[in-house]
Amino acid sequence: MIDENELMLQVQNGQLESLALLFENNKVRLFNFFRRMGNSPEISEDLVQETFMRVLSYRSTFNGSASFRTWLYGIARNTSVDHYRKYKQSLDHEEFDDTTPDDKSSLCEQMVEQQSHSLFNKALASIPIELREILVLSRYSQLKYEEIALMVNCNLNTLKSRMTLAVSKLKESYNRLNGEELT
Amino acid sequence: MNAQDILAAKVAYLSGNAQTDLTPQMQQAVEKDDKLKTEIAFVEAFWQTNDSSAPEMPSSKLDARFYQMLAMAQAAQRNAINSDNDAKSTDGLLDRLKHWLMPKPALQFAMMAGIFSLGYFTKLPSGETTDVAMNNLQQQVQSLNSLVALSMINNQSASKRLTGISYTKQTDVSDQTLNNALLNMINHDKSTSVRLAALDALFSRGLNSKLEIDLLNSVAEQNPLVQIEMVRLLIGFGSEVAQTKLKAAAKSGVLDADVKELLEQQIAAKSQLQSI
Repeated sequence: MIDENELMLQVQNGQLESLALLFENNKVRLFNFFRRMGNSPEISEDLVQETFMRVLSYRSTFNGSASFRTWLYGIARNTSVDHYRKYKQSLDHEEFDDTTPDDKSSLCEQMVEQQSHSLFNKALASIPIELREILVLSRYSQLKYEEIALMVNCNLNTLKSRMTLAVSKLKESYNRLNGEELT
Repeated sequence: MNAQDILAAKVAYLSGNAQTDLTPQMQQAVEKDDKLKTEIAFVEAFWQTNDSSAPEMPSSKLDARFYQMLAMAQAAQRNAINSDNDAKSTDGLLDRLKHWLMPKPALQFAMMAGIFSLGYFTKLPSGETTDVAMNNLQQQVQSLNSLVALSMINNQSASKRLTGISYTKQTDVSDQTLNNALLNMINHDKSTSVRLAALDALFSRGLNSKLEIDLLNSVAEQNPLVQIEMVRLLIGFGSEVAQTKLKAAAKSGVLDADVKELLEQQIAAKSQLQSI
């Protein structure tokens, strides 16, 4: 089991090769985070690269008080926010399609499941970015509320309210899209 | 307890932020409320789908870019270490030479006599003294280093440009051609790592008022990483004018939000230090 905190402290002490292990361990996860935030595959790769560049530049600021994963997502989130501010991306961005057929289920079941996944992803892409990011960080990056609250710079109760609002917006969007798909 | 609280409790459980699922009372409330039942079913579906799908994979270009960046960072680190070692070995050599030349007073006198005699009988070009000759040699070495630095600074490869920047540390700090080249890199180089290294090198050559103005004028055009380093250096080593202009830049919105926050922290830290 790789101790990512230990690896990051090694990078901090000048053993830059340890960054390669951290990269291999987290690149897919980060890439998917940026994809779920509505970025194209190319932009998502740029953002992963930018994130690791910042990890290298800011390595002296890692103190091990939070997990490396939390620290990394904090940097990733800021990278995403900076990119969004710079390019003011519209909400009509590339749909994230992570559907892959499951060999065990029937063709009909696969189609139903794929349609459901696709609708969830479309619905996620259409809600405001500040609500989308907390859903993505919680549901897909599996970060805890405390960690997300620290990243988005709000208190825990505010985050919980935002989470409830995000779910509500997601459901509205899903129902609207589902209604459109059915007609 | 209202529907919102029940929904929030369910989301907290599904997201791993609560140990237990809905209480029996909450479950009863859900059963009695069709709208709430639908919402609970929705969040369960959202949290429980997609778990078996394979994640999307990035292309091999991402690996290539990352490992190229890592190689450049490692090369820059080695160059920095080599520069430091060269400086240390030179110091050591000079110390040893001094020690060898100054053993005891009688011997010192004999040595000085010997050196003067050597000087008398050896023809020095154009009647120069030893000190002037040494100075000339030093200048020639620095000029050579400047030439090497300048040629590498304009190289296509970012790692060569980084090496060129490290060479500037062995040149005359008043060399305006090099100072201008470093400023040009800060403003125009396509690599953030190169810009940061050039900024660091330029500051180590000494900050004057003209350089301060040039850097302040370029802050708005920089990416957040370079802005952060500029703020850190200008507040740490710059004049009050730099602080005032950076505050104005923050107010006018040209600084990134994180950079603005760092600026406030740096100014506060500097004031605290000055008041001690």
